[in-house]
Amino acid sequence: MTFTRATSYFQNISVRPIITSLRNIHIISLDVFFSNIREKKFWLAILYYVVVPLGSMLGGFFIPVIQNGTGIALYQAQFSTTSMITGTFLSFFLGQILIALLTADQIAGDIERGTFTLFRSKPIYEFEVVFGKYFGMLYTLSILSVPVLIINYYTQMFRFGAFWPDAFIHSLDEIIAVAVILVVLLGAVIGLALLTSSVFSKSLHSIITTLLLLFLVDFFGNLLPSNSKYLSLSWYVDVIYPKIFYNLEPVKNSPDPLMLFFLLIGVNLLFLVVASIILRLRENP
Amino acid sequence: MTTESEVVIRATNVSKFIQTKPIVYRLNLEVPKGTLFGLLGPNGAGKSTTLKLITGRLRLTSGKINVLGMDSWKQRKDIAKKIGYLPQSPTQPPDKTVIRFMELMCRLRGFSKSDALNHSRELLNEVGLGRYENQNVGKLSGGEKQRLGFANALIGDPEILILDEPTASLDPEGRIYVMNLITQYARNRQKTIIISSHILPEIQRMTNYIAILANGKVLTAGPVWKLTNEVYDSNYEIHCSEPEKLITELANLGYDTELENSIIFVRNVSNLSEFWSTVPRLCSENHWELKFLKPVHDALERVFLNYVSNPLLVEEQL
Repeated sequence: MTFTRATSYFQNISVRPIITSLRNIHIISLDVFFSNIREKKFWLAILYYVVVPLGSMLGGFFIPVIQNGTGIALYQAQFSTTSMITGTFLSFFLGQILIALLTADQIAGDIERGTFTLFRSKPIYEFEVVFGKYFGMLYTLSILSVPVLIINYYTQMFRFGAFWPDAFIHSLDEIIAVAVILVVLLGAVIGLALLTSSVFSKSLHSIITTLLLLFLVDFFGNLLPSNSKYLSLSWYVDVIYPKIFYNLEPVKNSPDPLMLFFLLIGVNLLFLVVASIILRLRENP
Repeated sequence: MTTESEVVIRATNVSKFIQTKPIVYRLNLEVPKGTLFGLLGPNGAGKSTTLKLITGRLRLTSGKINVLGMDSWKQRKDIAKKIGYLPQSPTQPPDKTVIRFMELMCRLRGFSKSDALNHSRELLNEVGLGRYENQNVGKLSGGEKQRLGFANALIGDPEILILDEPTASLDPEGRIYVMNLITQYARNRQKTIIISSHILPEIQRMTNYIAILANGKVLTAGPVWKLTNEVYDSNYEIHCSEPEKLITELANLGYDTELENSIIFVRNVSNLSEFWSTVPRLCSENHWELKFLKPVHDALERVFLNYVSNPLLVEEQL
C-alpha cells in the first residue's frame, strides 16, 4: 500500500518544470556572461586576474632555479599556484572589490535601473533569476581565474624541469581539483554578493556591504581555533590546497577536503536560496 | 452582468495591504472577453496595484483573482505565458541592442533561439522599430522605448494584453502613435486589452468598457455607452463670431452666462432641448458664425467627476 502510494507520488512529479527552470537559468546566465564581457569593469578585472598573476609568474623566471627535476618541479608548481590563488583571489582590497563590483550590482542594479520588472513580466521565478545571475558571474570570474591558474601551474613545471609528457599528464587530476575548489570558492563570494544585492535597491550600498561582510567574515573566521575556522576564507586555501597537492605536508588538524568541498557547496546554495527568498519577499510586501 | 464563459478576469473581494495601509480594498471586477477595457482613476487610486495583482506580480492579502480560469498567484507562471504586460514607464537595459533585448525576452518566454530571433524581428516591424534593431536601447527616444516595451508585451501573441499607463511619459506625438498602435492591434487581433490611465480622452478614444477606481475600490464599471447614456453636463461652451452680442441675447433669455477669451460659458442649463435649439437659431437669424457649441465636460468626464469628486455618492454606491 505504502509502496503504491510512493510510486504514484513519484509518477505525479513532472520533470517539465525542472527542465524549464534549468533552461531559464541557462538563458539568464549566458545573458549575464555576455553582458559582463562587454562591460568596462570586466577589462579592469582582466588587469587584475590575468595580467598581475602572469606578470608575477614571469617575474619568477628571474629567480635562479637551484634544484630541478620532476619531483621538485611538481612541488614548486603547486606551491606557486597556491600562493597565486591566495594572493590574487583572497586579497581583500583588490580581488574582492572587483568581485563585489561585478556581482553586487547584478540584482540591486537591476532594481535601481528598473530593469528587474522585465524579468517579472515573463514566466520565470525569482530563484531562476538569482541562480542565472550566479552562474553568469561564475562563468565570468572562472574564465578570468582558471586559465591563468592552469597556465601558471604548467609553466612552473616547465621552468623547474618536469619531464614531458609524464609529469604533465600525471598532474592533471591535481589541477582539476584546484580549479574545482577555486570555482566553488568564487561561488561562495559571488553568492554572498548576490545575497546583499537582493537586499539593497542601490548598487553602491550593495557593493560596500558585500566588502564589509567579506572582511568581517574573514577577520572573525581567523580568530576561531585552528581546527574550526570554517568562516575564514583564507583558511580554505591554506588548508585544502596542501591536502590536494599530495606531496605537500597536510596542515595539522586539517579537515577532509571532500567534506569542505560539500560544505562550500552548501554555503553557495544557502546564499542563493536566502537571496531568492529575500527577493521574493521584498517584491511581494 | 456578463456570463461566466465571457469573463476572462474576475476579481472577487480583493484587498492588498502594504504594511497596514490598504492600497486595494474589497475590489470586485470583471473583464469581459475581447473588450478594450479601461481602468480609470486618479493618481493613487490603486490602478497599478490592481494590474500587478492580476498579473501575479503581487500577492493578494485577501480575496481571489481568477485569470483565464487560473489563480492569479498560485498559477502566476502559467498566467505570465498568456498575458502580455507593459509596466508603467518600463526600463530596458540601455547597453543591449534592440534585437538582443527582444531575443532575450522571447527566450525567457519559451521560444527556441531561432524562433526568438524571427519573432523579435516580426514584432519590431509591427511596432515600427525594425530599422533600429542593431541600435543600443539607450539611444532610443522615450516614444521608441515605449514602443519597444509594447513589442515586449506582445511576445507570444498573448490572450490578454495589460498596459499600465502606456502613454504617461510620452510627448503628444508619441501618445498619438502609441494610441494608434494599441487600437490597431485590438482591431486586428480581437484580443482582450486592459489599459490603465488617468487621462480621460485617451481612455475614451481607446476603450469600449471601463471601470472607475478610487481609493482602491471600483466605483462603477460597464460599457462606455451604457455608463454615459443617462449622463449629461449642464454647463456649455459656445464659440461664435459675435460673442458679445450673443451673450447679451442669452442673458436676456435668462441664461447664466460668462465671457472668457471670446468663449461664452453658459452654466446650469435646465432645459437642454430648448437650449440646443435657441443658440443655433439666434446665430442663424443674426448671421453670426457658430464655431462650436459643446458641453464643458463630455459624458465620460461627467461620469468620472460624479464618482470621484462625490464621496457621498461613492459611499452610496458601495
